[in-house]
Amino acid sequence: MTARHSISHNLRVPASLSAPKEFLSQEECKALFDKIVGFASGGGETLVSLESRWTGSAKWARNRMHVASDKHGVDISISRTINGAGTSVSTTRLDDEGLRQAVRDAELLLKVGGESPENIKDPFIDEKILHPQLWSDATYGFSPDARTEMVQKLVDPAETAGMISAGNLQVSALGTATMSTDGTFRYYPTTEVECSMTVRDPKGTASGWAGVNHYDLGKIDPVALAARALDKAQKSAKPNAVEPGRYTAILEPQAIADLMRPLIDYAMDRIPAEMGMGPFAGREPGRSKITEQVMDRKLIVRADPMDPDGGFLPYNRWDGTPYIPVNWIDQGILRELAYPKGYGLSALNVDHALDNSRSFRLTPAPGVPTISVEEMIAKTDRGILVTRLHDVQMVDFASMLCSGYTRDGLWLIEHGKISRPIKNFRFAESPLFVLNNLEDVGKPVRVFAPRRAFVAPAVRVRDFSFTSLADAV
Amino acid sequence: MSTALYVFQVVGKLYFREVRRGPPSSTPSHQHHVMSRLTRRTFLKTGSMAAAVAAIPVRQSYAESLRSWVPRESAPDFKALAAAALDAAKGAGATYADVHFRYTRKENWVYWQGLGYPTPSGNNYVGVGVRSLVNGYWGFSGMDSVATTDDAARLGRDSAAQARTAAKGKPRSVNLAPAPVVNNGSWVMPVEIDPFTVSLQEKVDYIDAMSDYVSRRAYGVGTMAMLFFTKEERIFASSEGSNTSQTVYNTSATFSLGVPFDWLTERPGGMGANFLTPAGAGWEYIRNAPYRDRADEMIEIAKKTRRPKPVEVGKYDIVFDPEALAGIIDVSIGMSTELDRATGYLANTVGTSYLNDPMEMLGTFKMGSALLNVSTNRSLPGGAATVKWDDEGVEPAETQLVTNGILTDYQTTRESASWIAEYYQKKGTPVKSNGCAGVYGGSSSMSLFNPNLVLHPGTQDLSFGDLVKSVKKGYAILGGQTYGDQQALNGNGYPSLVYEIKNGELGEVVSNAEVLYRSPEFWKNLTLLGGKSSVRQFGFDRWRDNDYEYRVPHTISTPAAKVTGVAITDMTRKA
Repeated sequence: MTARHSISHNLRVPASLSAPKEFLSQEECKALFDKIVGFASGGGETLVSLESRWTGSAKWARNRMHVASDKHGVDISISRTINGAGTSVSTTRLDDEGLRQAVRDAELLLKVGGESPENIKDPFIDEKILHPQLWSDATYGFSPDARTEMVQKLVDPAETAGMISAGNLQVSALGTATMSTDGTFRYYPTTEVECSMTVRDPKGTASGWAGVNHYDLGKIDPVALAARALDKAQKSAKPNAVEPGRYTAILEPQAIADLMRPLIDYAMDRIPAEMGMGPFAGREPGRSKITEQVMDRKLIVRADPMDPDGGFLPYNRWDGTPYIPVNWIDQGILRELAYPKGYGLSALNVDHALDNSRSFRLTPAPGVPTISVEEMIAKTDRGILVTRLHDVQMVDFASMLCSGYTRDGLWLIEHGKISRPIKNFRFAESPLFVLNNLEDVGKPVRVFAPRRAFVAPAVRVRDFSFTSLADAV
Repeated sequence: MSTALYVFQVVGKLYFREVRRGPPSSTPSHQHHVMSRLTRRTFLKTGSMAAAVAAIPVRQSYAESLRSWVPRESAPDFKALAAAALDAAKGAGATYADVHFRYTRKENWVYWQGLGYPTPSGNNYVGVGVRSLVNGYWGFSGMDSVATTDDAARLGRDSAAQARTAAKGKPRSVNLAPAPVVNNGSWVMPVEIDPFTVSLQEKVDYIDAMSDYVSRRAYGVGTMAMLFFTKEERIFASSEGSNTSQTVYNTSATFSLGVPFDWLTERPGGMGANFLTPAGAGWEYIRNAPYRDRADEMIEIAKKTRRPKPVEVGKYDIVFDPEALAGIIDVSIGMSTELDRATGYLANTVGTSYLNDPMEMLGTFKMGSALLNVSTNRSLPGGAATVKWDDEGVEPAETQLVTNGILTDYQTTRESASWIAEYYQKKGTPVKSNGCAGVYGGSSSMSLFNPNLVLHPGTQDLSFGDLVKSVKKGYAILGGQTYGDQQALNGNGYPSLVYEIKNGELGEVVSNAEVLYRSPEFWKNLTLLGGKSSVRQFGFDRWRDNDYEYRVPHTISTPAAKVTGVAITDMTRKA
């Protein structure tokens, strides 16, 4: 079975617009947009945000493939705005009747909000986007047969060692388009690969995990990931409990990225911060913590669509706003928070929005020496090595205090060596506290964050708060 | 915290810091026109907006658009499409295949703040997927949008091809527990009023009038609300000859109020309604919600939350209200008894279960005290997981997951039921699925979805108040969010409201309390159950997969209960 089925026969479009691929081409997106605009009535603007997505996946558990699947998905969000009243209706229908109905629904729903003719629309400016390389033929061409073979390679070492492997290996190809009657037209083809696995012993007393996502299959090493998961599983057998408390912790890149996620998702907006909400609220109303030290000087938190390890779609797919490369935090100082275009114009005298892409790179600043996890262990007299965190929940917005559990490999370090595996903990920590207690930092690497691009280094930090024993494996 | 709670915290603070009483200045003038017609008296008198609506300029009815929601003009011949898919799958080597067509419609109102109402948005999800079994391996092929006969056949062939490719691996077997063939099964969830036939204006008017009423009950009260409606057509057919067609509704809302900063503590206060959690119900669920009855009580509680006492860390006797207990049931029992999870099929995403040796543990493992009896129930009126057939065409029968404290069953599908066939055979009961198969959308592959769960009430009809009377020193824990570790073994809860209990009476409100529990120990300390009249039900919809792909709505029905020796800590404390 070839991987290159056209889905254009699902579209009611002339065959001349079809092409052999798994997702909608630029021409097909444009044709859909023209059709949708044709269905609109009542004037105003129409914006269409469209994601067509093909995913081929291989899920396995208990050392055997469980489901091999192939899915063609499409999500079309149609926004209609008439005289300042607007709303959106999303549909997964590509046929005329479905699109016409979605447009009509939007036109009915938007009347509820009431018109605001005084909401003057900004004149359209075709803002430039960056053009990161986000397409990989290797990813796109990864056939079901090749996936099955790879899964075999990933499972065999675990099975031979008497362990049980579960995991997911999937590739996707997407055509993402944002098109508007005011002139916006953006289209970008991308690929994604996700590879993660968990290896456990048959009694369920040991567990190891490894995983990553990326656009390029050629840049990841699934076999090495499987070996790491197996190694962690074997080294975490027969854990003992140690006392909860504050420890020097070495957080592997995945763990610190897991802890950073709520910060990136919730805390990076300027307006709420200036209104006194969240960790970056300033000392007085109307101010944020921009220009203040919020983290150790050694650190930068950056988001750049052109990031060599962590590139991402260079625009907000909902409204076409380009993502501008930004150092949110530079040498520990908060430099920027996200804001909409109106705020930029009125408060900052800039003519663009600064949007949060929700991807990030946490990295040591230039000139900061980096050491490996092994070297961090050697420097630690008593500490804990953490693989990753489970179900990180924000407890307090003002401090970003989060809680959750450790998972898939936790070890005690004594006198510069890993001494033994230990039982998991609940933790209560804030990424901001943790990154203010920084001792050492490593080289950033891509970690596992489906549909996002997270790049983070290992960090060695003081006084990480493990609050209670959680003897789950 | 849940997204809703977070939004309220963020948006609520935004509102209350300004302590505004009127609508935002950008509100168009016609809204004032609407509000002047809807007085509190009108609301109290009629409880409905029928009279008031008549006075308002008529708007186009939303129901009109419903006409072609499921495309009736060009309604697909689902039988023909299913046959095309299943025949193609069988022709390509499948020994079993099934197909799903799904039309899911959503209407979302996010959010009402004070007297300003939102513009609703909508989602229409349409998809189809085929699953094939070849040589013990599953293959799946799905697509969004409306399928033609060619599409259906292609999906059938592809799904079998996927399975054949997977089957090149080591041998594996799948036994599907037998299920009766359902011929032309048809069911519509019984709701009073289909929310998609209710005009947008009526929804606006109702929530506006309710917000207006509540906000006038005391000085400085602000309100916030969100509404969510879902209607789904689920069409299923299998190569064994079953075919079912079901219409399922889900309605939920959030409604919270806040009171101004306390002069002494400078803390704002807030309280959310707990009577609007996801339910298998229609517009009547919102219309009949007891806002009027509960408004004053909610305002009083919100005020009390402004002067809380710090919690004293320790182990205590706790009286849980049904909502708080439902959260713990959902995590510590609802998650742990998913058989695919318990046998390692979700090890790479959300995790495993402490009930990880089914054949050893069934019939012997002590889940809790003899008072603990938990059943599945997919016929529960108003249940968010209530159906006639699950997504494999199995009509779910009630089963007891926990009987007098002992683990006696798991949540199963046809495939997973066969993994514990020996247990059923020894018991002398038929080997069959407990009816928990579920697909999220037409284009998603088969998974396990939580059914509704029922914790049986005690034989004596004790009320929440009776349970409180039985505690000398402890806490009453109400509402909130519960989380669990990767094995659903240890967990923690952040309550909505906590009172001290002293000598059988509720005392002061306490802040920052967090409940810590370890499942078996917690349930073993279940010492007193509320009776039938204390039973309430609440809907949950937690993410089932780490990819945050889908939420699984289900309802938990439970009485209040007293549990001894529960660890209470301060959520803001670090180690």
